[in-house]
Amino acid sequence: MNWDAWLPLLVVASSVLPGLVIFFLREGSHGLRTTLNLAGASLKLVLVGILIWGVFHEHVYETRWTLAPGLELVLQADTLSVLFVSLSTLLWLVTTVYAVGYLENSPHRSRFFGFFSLCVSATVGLALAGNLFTFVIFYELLTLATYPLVAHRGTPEALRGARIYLGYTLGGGMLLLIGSVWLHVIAGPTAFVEGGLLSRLPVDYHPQLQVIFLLLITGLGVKAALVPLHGWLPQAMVAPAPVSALLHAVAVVKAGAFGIVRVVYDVYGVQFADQLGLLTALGIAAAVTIVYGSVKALFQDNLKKRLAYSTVSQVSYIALGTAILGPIGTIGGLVHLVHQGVMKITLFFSAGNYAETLGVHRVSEMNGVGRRMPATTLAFTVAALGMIGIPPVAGFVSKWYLGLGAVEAGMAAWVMPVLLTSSALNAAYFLPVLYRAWFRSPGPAWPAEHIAATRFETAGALLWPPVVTATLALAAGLFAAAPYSPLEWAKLIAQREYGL
Amino acid sequence: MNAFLLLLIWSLPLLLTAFAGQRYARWFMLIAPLPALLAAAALPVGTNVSLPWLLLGVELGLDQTARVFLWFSGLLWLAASLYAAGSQADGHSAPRYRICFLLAMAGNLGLIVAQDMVSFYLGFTLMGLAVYGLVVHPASQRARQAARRYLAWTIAGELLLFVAVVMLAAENGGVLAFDVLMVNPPAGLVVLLLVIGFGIKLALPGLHFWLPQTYAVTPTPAVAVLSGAMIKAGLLGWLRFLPPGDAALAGWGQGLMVAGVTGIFFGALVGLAQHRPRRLLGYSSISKMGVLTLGMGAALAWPAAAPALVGALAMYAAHHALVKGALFLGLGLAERGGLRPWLLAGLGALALALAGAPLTSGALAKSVLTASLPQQAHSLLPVLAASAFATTLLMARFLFLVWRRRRSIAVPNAPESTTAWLALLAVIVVFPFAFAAAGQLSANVVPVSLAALVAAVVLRVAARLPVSIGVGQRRTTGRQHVLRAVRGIRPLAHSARFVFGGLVQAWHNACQRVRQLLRSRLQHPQRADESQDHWPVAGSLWLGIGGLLLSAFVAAA
Amino acid sequence: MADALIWSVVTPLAGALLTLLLPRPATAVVMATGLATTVAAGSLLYGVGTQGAMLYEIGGWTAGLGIALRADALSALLLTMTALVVLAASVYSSVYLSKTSERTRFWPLWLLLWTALNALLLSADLFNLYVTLELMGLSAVALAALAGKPAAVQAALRYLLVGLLGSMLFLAGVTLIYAGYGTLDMASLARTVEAGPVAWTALALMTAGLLLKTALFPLHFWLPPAHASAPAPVSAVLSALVVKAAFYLVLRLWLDVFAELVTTTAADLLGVLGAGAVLWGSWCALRAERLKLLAAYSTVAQLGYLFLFLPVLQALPPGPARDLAMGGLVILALTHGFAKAGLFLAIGVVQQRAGHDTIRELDGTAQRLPATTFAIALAGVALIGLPPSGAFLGKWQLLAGSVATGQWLWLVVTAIGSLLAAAYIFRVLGHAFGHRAYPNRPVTIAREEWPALLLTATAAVVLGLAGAPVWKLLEGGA
Repeated sequence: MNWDAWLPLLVVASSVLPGLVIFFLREGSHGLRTTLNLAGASLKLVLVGILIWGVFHEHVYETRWTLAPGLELVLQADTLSVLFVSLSTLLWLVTTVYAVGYLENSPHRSRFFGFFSLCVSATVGLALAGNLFTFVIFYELLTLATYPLVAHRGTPEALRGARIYLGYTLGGGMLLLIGSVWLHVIAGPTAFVEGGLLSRLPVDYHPQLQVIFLLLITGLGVKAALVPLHGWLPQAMVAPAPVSALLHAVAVVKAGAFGIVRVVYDVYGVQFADQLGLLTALGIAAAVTIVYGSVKALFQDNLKKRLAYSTVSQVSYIALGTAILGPIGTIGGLVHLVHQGVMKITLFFSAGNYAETLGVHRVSEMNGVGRRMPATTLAFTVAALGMIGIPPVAGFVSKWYLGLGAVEAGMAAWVMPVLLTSSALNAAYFLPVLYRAWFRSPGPAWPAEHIAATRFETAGALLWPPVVTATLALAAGLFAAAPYSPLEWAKLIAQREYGL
Repeated sequence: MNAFLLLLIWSLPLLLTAFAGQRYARWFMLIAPLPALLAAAALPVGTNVSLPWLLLGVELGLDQTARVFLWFSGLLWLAASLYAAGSQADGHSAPRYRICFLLAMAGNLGLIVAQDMVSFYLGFTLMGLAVYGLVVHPASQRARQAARRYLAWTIAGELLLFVAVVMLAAENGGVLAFDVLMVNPPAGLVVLLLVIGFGIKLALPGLHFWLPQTYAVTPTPAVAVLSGAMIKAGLLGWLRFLPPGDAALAGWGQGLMVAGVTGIFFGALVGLAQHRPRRLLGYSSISKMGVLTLGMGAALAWPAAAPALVGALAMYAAHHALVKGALFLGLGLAERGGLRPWLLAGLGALALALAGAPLTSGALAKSVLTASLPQQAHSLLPVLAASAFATTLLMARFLFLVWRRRRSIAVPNAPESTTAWLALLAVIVVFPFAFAAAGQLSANVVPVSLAALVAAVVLRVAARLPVSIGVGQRRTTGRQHVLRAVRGIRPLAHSARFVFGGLVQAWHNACQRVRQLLRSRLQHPQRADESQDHWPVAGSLWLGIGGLLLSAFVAAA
Repeated sequence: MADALIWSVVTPLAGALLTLLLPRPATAVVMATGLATTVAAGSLLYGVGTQGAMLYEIGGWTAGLGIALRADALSALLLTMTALVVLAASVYSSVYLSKTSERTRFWPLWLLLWTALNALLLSADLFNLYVTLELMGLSAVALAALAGKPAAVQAALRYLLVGLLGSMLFLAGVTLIYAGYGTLDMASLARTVEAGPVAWTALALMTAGLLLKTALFPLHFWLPPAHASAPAPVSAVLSALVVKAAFYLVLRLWLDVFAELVTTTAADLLGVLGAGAVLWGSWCALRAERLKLLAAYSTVAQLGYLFLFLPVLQALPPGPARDLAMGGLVILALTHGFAKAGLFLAIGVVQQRAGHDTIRELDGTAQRLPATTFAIALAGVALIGLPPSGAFLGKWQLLAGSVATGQWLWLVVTAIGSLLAAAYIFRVLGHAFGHRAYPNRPVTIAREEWPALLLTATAAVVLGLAGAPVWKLLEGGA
């Protein structure tokens, strides 16, 4: 049995199969559902571990399946896919635990967890995609799998948010599809190869390639929430907290950013893209998004909306890193993929805890919440400090590499002000939240205290995930220079991309 | 073992934060500064430890400067912790206060032993942010405002430093250790960023706006370490990042000297007009930091004299730190428990020390500093003398204010607090005699005595006059300026909005009309289909298509 | 192996007669017939796959004198699809049609329709095509009017008139050809026909007639009322198979028999009409109040996509690119067949359970029938053209073809059409999410819900993932 060919498929299947089974479970079979979920997640983790080891030793893992002549479904594990897959898998495990606790006693859990598993499968498939065709397929599947999650609650607001989400993402998917078809017609099947293959095309194709790039990036930019395509993100906040956590840290937004990374590095090749002037355009879009997102976040009182705009801003760091020519900038963007995921998911978990335990949805209601829920607020603090870029939390490492890359590429004149403004704005909208949480006294009563304070501040399944992810965020920064850290892995990817 | 001790210096306070909520936490905090003192006493200069797996690669080490800094910082933190053990109430916000205290300590001590840029930055940032928690602790409106201002300035400084550090790292190919800066010193924009970034911490005139109010509201133990140990981090930053000894930075040195002189006199003059002792001490700090800036500038301008100057600066920093810290602690005792005679005497001794009266640590520091100045810098000597003069006046006013504000015994001071202060006082009084060579303790005789005379006269006179001046008391100047500017733009904004609004309205009307048109046509498309049911319509459509097809075939022939 | 050809036609015919004669065990007879025909279709497909095109001459009379049946890859694939869809719909109908009296009238017509479909797909000469076309039309009309309600009868009558007009035009064209060339065998005609007034007029007449029967915009007005008032299984077959059979004929005429006559302008004309169908049909579906109307208009739109392929095929020179596009067309047609059939069956379940099919009032029903809603969702995926459905592959080829030939209009139309399709599908699916909790019983009546689920699953997943053999078949068996 050729394991090398089966392993990528198994990684995807390890969540598809439990998902399909879960659909048919009765609402009451809580134990079986949780077991299936966790078993699938753990199995996936093990398989991904094998993948990491193998890719590090330059093994080739590839699954191929022909759908039509010239159109092959390819799942392959290279350094970049392993980065995203491991992030997704690890965070899926944590989010599953959280979701089990969060959705206790709410209706339609089987449907939720079924689509939850499918969502992760789509993400993992997208991460392991070995060519643009496969990427497009899983990109659309991700949209399909996440729609029911956003609409889960079934209230008019939820349905409206889901409709808006769908409108944006399907539109983006269509643009991506057109770009991919066009590229396929002029350049054949576009496999993801480090350094890209498009530079070999004759010069007459360059204008077309520029238009195609615009189409691709716009299509991907919808999910990656580049301004002005970000409108769905704050609307999708109506989803339950585990969904927001997953969507904004792992699945949807990262998929868009990951796609942008893939297109620039493995389809066009970063040198070629720079030649065509595409990196500058991307950089400007990223810079505008970074500043715009942070400014909008300042004016939000709803905590989840504030975090949503913060996501809009932070994910564009990845695009910015991609736009900075040179390995250091690349490292900054790639490592931020992981760091932002871990930090943002912590923030969303904490926000979910506040909502679920105390009925606190707004920043103005958060006075003194640090005393009532210290562990959650501590996790929130660590993640928020990381977002601002304060060492030793992971966010500092990403900003460091982005700044360093910009200086080395000679782009410091406009990148540095963007980074500084963004950090200052981040401080401006996170620090007041921390101040309220830690330094103010709480009001007479919480808006809606659902979970009473026992020995622990809230339910175990709600408490542990943010603590774990906050610890990871801290560790990713503290031990950034240690082997097997996300930073070291990002360095490896950059090495192979630039052929160093 | 040595390496472990270096790690413990900053990791022990971090670990102790976990116990901040325990019953005897106040006593645990006392052991936090001990590794620093132990290291300062026992570790040989040149001890190094390298942790390439931590953060971006951490280098820790103990050089001569670090040792001096560890000494005075460690002592001050210890004294402040002991004081806090006595004064800090065990309320529900006490753990929070202790955690911030410990974090600030970790950052402060950590940056002292840092030998690479990133870990220095880490300690600096940690310290800066943790202090916020201490400043905002009193939970009054004034405290919140002061804390916010402090935070804004601190973050601005940290952001500038981030840019500088990144640029330095880029220039040196990613190598972060300070040694590389000796070989390839910073130049141009980077130096400006470093000067401003650390200058904010050192409260250079123009960057000092956060300081007086912060000192006014922060609880006593915190302000003691803030004014004593933490402000010196700015100096250490300069010493590390702008290594004196290279001729390239001579121009900057001149600039720093000018800034220093400005600071000296600015601080003194504005300080004299204060009504509250704490703010006065704040301005006094600004003045003294001016002296340090002056010395730093001299070290950069005259590289040959740099090694001696650096040592002198370290000594001066140590003197100022201990004395200022003790002044604040004593002030705290007085505010709480009333002005006992021995307290007044101690404060008087400290005042003399700060002024640099003979036989005090101030005199020692001053002599060492003047001795290390090179020949070319002798024009600075009068400045230093004037500084002593001004400081004496300032201290006189301080004592006057303390005396005037005294009240009858409200709450007796805790024995721990008193012990802490007395111990610190003892160290300050004794150490000059331990370290000084002959003749060093007799500096500043003229300026100090002159100033004392002037002060006495003024006091007699002023006792008769009812007038009082308030300078530097404006709290919201910055904001008012901005508001005024904004108000000026308002008419312009109004007309712009009028024009723009009209355009937007016209666009809306047009869109509305188009929308209505489309809606009527597309709302019920089935009706359109049903109209086709009429056979004439269907038939003609069909005939049309058939004809078109035929002509399509024919035409191409 | 060639016997499969004749069995595919004879078995359902025999079944129809049997059900007429033996009304009691009718259901069992139908099931047996269904299975047998499906097996025949399957072996036909297998035969074409291994041997290439197959020919069967009835009674041994050679072409020109007798009736011949020919199967190539295209017809084999469509035949298999027909078999599977009708089988599934038969299983469904055995439960759906509760009244015995209904059933006695239903089964014979049903199997007759199947016979007509199979014969049409396998006919090798033009007159035979006319006969089967007429037969198909008449049985379809009868089935559509079966419900007996006034609206249904009116719609069926309209369908009848339009259908007769269409087939008469077709006959006129056939007559012209016979007059001009003396033969009706398609293979020999393909060799001998040449551009000239006779051929042009004949093709124009036949095409115009077929356009009426395939409900291409703007001649589609009869379809929505007819399909919407018919019983669910009938609508399924009408939308999935009957209109597609007419389209199949257009393909045969344009790509095989009269390939030389087709000009770019003519192809573009059909393309433009197809574009109109896509946009208008999708928009009407979006505004539809009833599920069945929505599905019917969706058929109009989906047929438009098939017509969009024609200008692309015309512009591509023979070669790998053209083969890819052809395969895309076929797989799109297949996917739509399965998806639309499954959709109508699912809608039928909903209609029975709720008593109505008004979209706005669907809430409770959608939530109480998870499997059916899921089937609708799967059908939706295939109709929108999202992966992993076969329609995704088909649309990819359409887009690739338009890019390669520089015909950007089709690309834009396809994109807009897909987005509109997404809008109307998710409008329906939105009603599947509500706050009240229902016990999670996925499938209530197995025989009703499983066929729909299987059909749509085929469309949405199987054809997408296992669709590569379609291209191989078309290459080899053409």
